[in-house]
Amino acid sequence: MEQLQNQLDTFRANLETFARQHRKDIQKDPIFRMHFQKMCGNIGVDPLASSKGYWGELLGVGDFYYELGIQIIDVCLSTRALNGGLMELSEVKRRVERMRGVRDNKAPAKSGNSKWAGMIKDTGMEVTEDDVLRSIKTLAPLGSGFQVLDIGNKKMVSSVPRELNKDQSVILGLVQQTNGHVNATVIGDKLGWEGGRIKTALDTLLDDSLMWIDMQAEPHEYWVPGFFEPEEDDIYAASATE
Amino acid sequence: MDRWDPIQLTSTFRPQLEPYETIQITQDQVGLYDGRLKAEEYPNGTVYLTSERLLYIDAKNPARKSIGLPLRLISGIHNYGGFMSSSPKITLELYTRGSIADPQSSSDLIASRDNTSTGMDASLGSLSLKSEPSWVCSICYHSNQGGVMKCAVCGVKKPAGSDTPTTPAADPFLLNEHLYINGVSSNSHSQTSLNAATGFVDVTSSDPGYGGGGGDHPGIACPACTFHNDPFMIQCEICGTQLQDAESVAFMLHRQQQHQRSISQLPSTIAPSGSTSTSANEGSSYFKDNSSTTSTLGKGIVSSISNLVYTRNSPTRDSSKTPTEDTNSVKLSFRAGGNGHFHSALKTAMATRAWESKPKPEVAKKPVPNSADSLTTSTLKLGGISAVMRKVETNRIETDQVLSQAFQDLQGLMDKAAEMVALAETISNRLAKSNIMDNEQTATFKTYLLSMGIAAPVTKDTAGAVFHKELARELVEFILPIVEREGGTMSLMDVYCVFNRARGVELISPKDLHTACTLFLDLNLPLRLRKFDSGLLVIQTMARYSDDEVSETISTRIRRLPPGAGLSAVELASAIQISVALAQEQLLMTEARGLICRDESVEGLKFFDNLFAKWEI
Repeated sequence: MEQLQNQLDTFRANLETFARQHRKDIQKDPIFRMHFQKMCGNIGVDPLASSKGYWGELLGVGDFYYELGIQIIDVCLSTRALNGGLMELSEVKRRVERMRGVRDNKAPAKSGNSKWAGMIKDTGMEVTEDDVLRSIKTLAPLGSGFQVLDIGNKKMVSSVPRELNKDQSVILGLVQQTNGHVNATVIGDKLGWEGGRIKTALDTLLDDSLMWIDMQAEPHEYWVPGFFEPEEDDIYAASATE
Repeated sequence: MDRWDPIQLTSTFRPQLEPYETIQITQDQVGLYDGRLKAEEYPNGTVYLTSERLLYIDAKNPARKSIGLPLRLISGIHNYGGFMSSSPKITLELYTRGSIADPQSSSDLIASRDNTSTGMDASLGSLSLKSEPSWVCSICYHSNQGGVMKCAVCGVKKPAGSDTPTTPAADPFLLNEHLYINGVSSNSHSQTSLNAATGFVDVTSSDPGYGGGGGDHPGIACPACTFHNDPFMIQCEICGTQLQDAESVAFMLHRQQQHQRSISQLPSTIAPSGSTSTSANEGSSYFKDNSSTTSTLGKGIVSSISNLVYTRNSPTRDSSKTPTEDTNSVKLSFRAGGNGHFHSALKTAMATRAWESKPKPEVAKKPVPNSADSLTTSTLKLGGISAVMRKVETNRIETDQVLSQAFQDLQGLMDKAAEMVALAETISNRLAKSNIMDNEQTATFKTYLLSMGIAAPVTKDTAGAVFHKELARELVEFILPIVEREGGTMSLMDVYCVFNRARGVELISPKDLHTACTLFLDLNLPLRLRKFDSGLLVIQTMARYSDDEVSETISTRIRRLPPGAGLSAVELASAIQISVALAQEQLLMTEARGLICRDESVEGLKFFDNLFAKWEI
C-alpha cells in the first residue's frame, strides 16, 4: 500500500513537469492528443473517467472532451427531427467544428458563419474524428443511447437509444450505395427478399423516423436523410448555425 | 468548544457561504475533540475548510449539530500522524478569549503566547508556560526549570515519569490537592503544610512585580485614583473603580466561580470565602488569616493566572498530570484519512489570511490588443509577405521540434504510468483474494484508482468518495428548480448539458454525474435517478410524480379525447411540456399497467383507452 502511495507521488511529480511543458500542446494539437489517448489506452488508464483525477487537473484533458461532448449533444439534438437521430460521423464533426469557429476550408465564408468566426478566431481548435469518438464514448453513462454504429462502410452516430436489427442495417447499407434512396423493387432485386419482409423493414425504419417516404414517385421512394451530403444552402445549415 | 458558532446550511445540508468565501477542501468522517476529550455532541461528520472558517456538519443530525469556527481564532496547528488504532489528528490551538476582542487593554491581561511584554509574564517568570515547562518538586514545592534534574532548594531528584510540566500556580487544583493531602495525612503538620504553602507564596511573592505595585510593569492604572493595580484586578484596590470592561469581568468571574465550585467539592479543610473579586494579592495579608489564606491564595492564584485559560469544568482530577497543551484547543480526528491534504490546505489558508484583506473589486478587463494582430500588422509593415511566410515556416519547425521532444517526454511519462498500473493491479488482485483490508484502506485505494483513471474493479459499491457526495449535493441545489420547471422529470443528458454549461470551467465527466446521482438515495436528497426499460436514465423529483399518478393522468387525458383520436408521444410531449423520449416512456409504462392500448401503424404509434379490460364477456 505504501509502495503504491510512493509510486503515485513520484508519478504525480513527473506528470506535473510534463503538464507544465506540454499542456498547451495537448489542448491544441490533435495529433498529439490522439497519441496521448492511445498510449493511455494501452496502459489501461482512462484519463476521462473522472474529472477529479490527476489527468484532468494537471493536463486539462477532461474539460476539452466534456465540452466537446456537450457540443456533440447539441448538434445531434438539433438535427434529430430531420434525420431521426442517425447522422454520419463526418457530418457531426463538421458541424461541431463550425460551432467552434474553425473555418470551413471548402466553402467561402458565409455571412451566417461570420458571427461564430468573429468570436473564436482560427486558433486551431480543430477536432478530429478520434476526438469525437472519444467524447461519444464518455457520454455513454448518461443513458441516452449515444453510440457509434457501423453501417456499410460509414460510421454513424446514433443519439437515440435504438437497436437496429439486421434487416434494417442491411437496408441502410444498401441505401448508401444507391444514392440515398431506395424503393421496394430495388431492394427486391438487390437483396432478393420477398415483399412482406421488405415492407416490414421499411415500415419500422419509417417508424423510427430514419427514413422519409416520397409518395409522389411510383413505386414509393424511401430516403435516408442521415446520408445526405451537406451543401451550402441545405436545410441543415439553416437550423444548425442559429 | 465554546468558540464554535452554529452555522447556516442550505437545504441539502451544505454550508451557506459568505460572499467572497470559497471552499478550499472537504473531508468526511471527521470527529471533533475538545482539548483532549472527545466532543460527545460532534463525533462524526464532514469538515469543510473555507477561506474564512472551519465548518463541521454532523452526519447524523446536520440540522442541529453544525458548527463553525472562524480561522482567525486559530493560533497554531499541529499534525499527528496516527498510530495503530489511533487515527491521525490535527490539533488547533486557539487564541485565548479576549485577545482578539480588546487588543488594547490586553497586553496586561492576556498572555497570548508570543506576547512577551505581559506584566504577569515577566513577574511570574516561573509561572509562564512559554519557557521550558517547569516542574514542581513534591517535597518543597519549589518550581524548577524543566531542564534541571534536581530541585534547586532541597536537592531531591525529579521523580521519574512525572510529566507535570506546569507549575503549581498554573494548576490551582494541583496545588490544593497537595495542600489537602498534606493537611489530611498529618494534621499535626498542618502548620508545616501551610508554611509550605506560604513558603511557596514567599517564593512567588518575592518575585518583583507580583501582587501589584512596583516591578517592571505597572499593571493597570486606576482612572480615578491613579493607583497601579495588578493586571488581573477588576476593581481598583483603593477606590473600587471598575478597571476592566464587562466581558473580561464576566469571564474572570466565570473562572473564579468554576474554581469555587471545584474547591467546594474538596473536603473542606479549605473553606471558600465569599467570592468577591477583589481578592487581595498582597503578600502580607496571607499570613494573617489561616483559614482563609489558602482560599485567598487559591483565588489569588486563579485570578492571577486566569490568563492561562482553563476549560476544566469537572472537578475530577484524573491524574496529577496536567495537559501540556493549552486546553483551549480543538482536535480534528480523521477516521478516513486525508489529514495530509487538510493540513497543508489549512496552513495555506492561515497564511493567506483572507479575512483580513478587503475583497477587491473585480478588475475590469481591458480589451487586450490581440498580440497576433499587432504582430502580423507589424510584419506586414516591415517585411510584407515574405516575412509572414518566414514566420510560418519557423513556427512549423518549432512545433515539430517541440512535438518530438514532447513525444519523448510522453513516452517516459507513459512508462511510469504503466508501472503504476501494474502495481495497482497486483494490489487489487491481492485485495480480491484476501478480504482482510479494512474500510479505510480500501477507500484510500479506491481513491487512488479513481485519480489515476482506472475504473475501480474491486468492489461493486461506489467509492463513496467525498467528491461525489459533495457533487451530488451541489447538483441537487442547482438542478431542483429546473427539474420542477420541466415538469418534475428530466433526462440525464439534459441535466448533464445544463449543469456543465453552468459550471463553465471545471466540467465534470458523465461518469461522475452518474455516480453522484446514485448517491441521491443515501444522502436523502429529494431527487431520484430512474432507469426506464429502454435504458433511458432520468432524474425525477420524489414528491409528486409517482408512476401511479402519471398513468392516471395519461389515461384521463386519453379518455377526454374526441372519439377515434389517439394520443401519440409527440402530442403528449407538447401538451405537458416534456421531452418526447420521456413522453414515450410514460405512455409505455401506462400501457404496461393495462390502462391504455396501442395502435401501431405507418402513421406512428398511438394510444387509446383500453376498452378490452372493461368488456364483459
